Amino acid sequence: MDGKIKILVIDDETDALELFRDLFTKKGYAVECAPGGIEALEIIDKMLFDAVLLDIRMPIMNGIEVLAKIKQKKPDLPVVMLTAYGYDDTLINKALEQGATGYISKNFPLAQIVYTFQTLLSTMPTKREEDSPAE
Amino acid sequence: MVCNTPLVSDTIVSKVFTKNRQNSGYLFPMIEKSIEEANMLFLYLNLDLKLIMCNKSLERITGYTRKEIFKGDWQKIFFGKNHSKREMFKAVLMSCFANVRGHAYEGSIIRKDGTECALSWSNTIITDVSGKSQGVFCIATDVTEYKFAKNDVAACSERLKDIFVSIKDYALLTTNLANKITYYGASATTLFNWKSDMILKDISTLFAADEGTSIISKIKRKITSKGSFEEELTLLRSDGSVFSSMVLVSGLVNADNNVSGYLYIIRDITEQKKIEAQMIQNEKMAAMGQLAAGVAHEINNPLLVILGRIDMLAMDGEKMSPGVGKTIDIITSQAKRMRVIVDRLLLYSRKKPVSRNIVDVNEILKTIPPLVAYYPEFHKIEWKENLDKELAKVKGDFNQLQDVFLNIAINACQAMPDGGTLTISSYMQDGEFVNVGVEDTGSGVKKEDMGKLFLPFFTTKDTGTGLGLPLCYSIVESHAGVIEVESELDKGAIFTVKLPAYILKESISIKDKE
Repeated sequence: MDGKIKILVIDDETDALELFRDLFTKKGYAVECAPGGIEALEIIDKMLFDAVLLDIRMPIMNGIEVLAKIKQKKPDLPVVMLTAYGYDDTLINKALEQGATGYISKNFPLAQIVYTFQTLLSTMPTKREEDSPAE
Repeated sequence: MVCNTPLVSDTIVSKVFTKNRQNSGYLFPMIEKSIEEANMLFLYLNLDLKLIMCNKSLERITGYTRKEIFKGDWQKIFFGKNHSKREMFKAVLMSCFANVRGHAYEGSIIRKDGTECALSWSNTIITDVSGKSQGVFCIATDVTEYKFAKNDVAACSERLKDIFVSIKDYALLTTNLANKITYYGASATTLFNWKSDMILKDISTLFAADEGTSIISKIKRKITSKGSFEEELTLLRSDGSVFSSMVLVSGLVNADNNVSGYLYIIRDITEQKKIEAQMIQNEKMAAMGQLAAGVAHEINNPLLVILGRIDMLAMDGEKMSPGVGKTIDIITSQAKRMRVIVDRLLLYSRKKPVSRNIVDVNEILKTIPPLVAYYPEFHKIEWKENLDKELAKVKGDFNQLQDVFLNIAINACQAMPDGGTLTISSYMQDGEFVNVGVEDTGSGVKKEDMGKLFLPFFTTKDTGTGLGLPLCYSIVESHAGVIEVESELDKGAIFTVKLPAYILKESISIKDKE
C-alpha cells in the first residue's frame, strides 16, 4: 500500500485509455486500465480500487451493463461514467439510477476532467481497506 | 262551328252536326272516323256539363264502356271520391264558359281498375253564331307515363341537389365538353373564394398558371383511357392564392351513353399535405439526430485524445521551438473549432429542454435586437416589432428559445446584406398557439432548398456550419412546437415558430410530447 488512490479506467478507445492513464498517473493516482467490460470485471475480482472511471458507450458490454456487474460485486465502489455524448440524458440517467457516482463529459478540457473526478470522489467514503480482494 | 261526334246523345248538337255533315259532303265522315279512331280522348260537354259525346279512346283510357259512362254520372266515374279534383275540373270548365275561352289543363282521372290516369286537357268552347257558349269540346292526351317519369326525374333531381348541397368537404363542379363550368355547389364557392357567378367560365382558369390547358387535355386523355382521373393538383383561388387539392374527374354520361360533360370533385388537401410534410420532416430530423449523435461520439473520442495530449504537453512544461509551438497552437485552435461543431451537433440531437419554466415569449423577443446589434454588418437593417400584448405564456426554456429566435433573426439579417426590413411579430393562433414570426425582405429561399433548411450541415452561406436551423428545429420540437417557412425568391422569407400556449393546452401539448 503506497497511499495513492487507486483507480481503474475502462474505455475501448486505446488512445483515450492511455491518455487517462498518463493524466491520472501524473496527478498522483495509481491507475489500472481495461479495454472493455470483461477485462475490467476480471481485474476487479483480483484487485482493490478506490474508484472506477467507466466509458458509457463500449462494444460487446456497454457501460451500463458493466456498471451493474461492478455494483453486484462492489456495491460501495464509486464509479464515475465517461461520456463522449456529453448530453446523453437517457444513458446518464440510467447510470445514475444504477448507482453511478456521477459523470464526466469527454468534451471537457483535461484539467476539468480531473477536477470533476476529484470533486465527485470527495463526496464518497473510500472503503478500499474494508473490501475483500475476491468475492 | 265545326264539331263532330261519333256517338252523340244531345239532340241540338246532333242537329248541328247533321247540318254540317250535309254541307261538308264526303269530308265530314272522314273527320268523324278520325276522331273515333284517334289515340286522344275526345269529349263534348254541354253547359250543364252533361256528357254529349266521346270517342273510343275513352274506353281504352278509362276501362269503362261508353254505355257505362253515359248511363252513370261521368264525373263520379272519372273522379271517384276525390272531390277536390272533381271541383277543380268543374271550375276550369265554368271559367271557360264564363270567359268564352279555351283552356289547357292537366288533371287526372280514376280508371275502372282504380289506378290513376294523368291527362293533359285542351278545352275549346263551342259557340253559336251569336258567340254564345254552347258547350265545351275537350281533347285529352294520356300523359301518365310521362308524368310519372317527370315525377321520378324531379325527385331524382331533388335528391341530387340535396347531395350536392350536403357535401361540404368536397367542391363539386360540372363542365360541358367545351370545359365551361355548367354547375357548382356552395362548397366550391367557399373553396375557391368566389364572389361572382362562375357559370360558363373555363375550368382551366382554376388551375395554377400555365398548367390549365395541358391539365385539361391530360384529364380528358385519362378519362378516355381509364374512365376517370385522380391526381393532386395546385388550384387557384379567386384572390390568386394557390392551394393543394385532390382532383377527381369523371365523364357525365347522358341517356345515349355519350359523355356530355365532366364532373369535378375537388378536395382541399392543404392541411393534410402540411401534416404529411411535417411528419416526413420529423422522421428525417429524428434520423439526422441519431446520425448526428453517432458522428459526434465518433469525433469526440479522437478530439479528446488530440486536445488531451496537447494539454499534457503543457502540463509537462515541454520546451518547444517557436515553429512547433505555433503548429501546436493551430492544431489546438482547429480541434477546438471541431469541438464547437460537435457540441452543437450534440445539442441538436438532444431531445429534452433543460428546464420547463413559464416563459413570456415577448420578453425573450425584446432581448433579440440588442443581441443582433453586436454585429456591425447588420446596422443597415431596419427593425420593426409587432408584439401582441395579450400573448399567452409558454412552458419552456428561456435560454433555448432565445437561441432559436436569435438564430432565426441572424439568418434573416444575413439574407439582407444590402439592408432591408426585419419584422418580429408575436400573435395568438386559435387561442392555442403562441406564434412568433420573423420576416425579412431579403433574398428568400429557393424552392429546391425549402425541404433542406433544417437538415444538419445544409448551408447556403460560405461561413455557415449548417447547424443553426437544425438546432432551432430540435429545440422547438422539444417544446412541442413547429417551425414553418414561407418564402418568395428575392422578396424575403417568413419563419414562424409555433409554440403551444401554456394556458389552455399546456397539459396536452407539452406532456404528450414528453
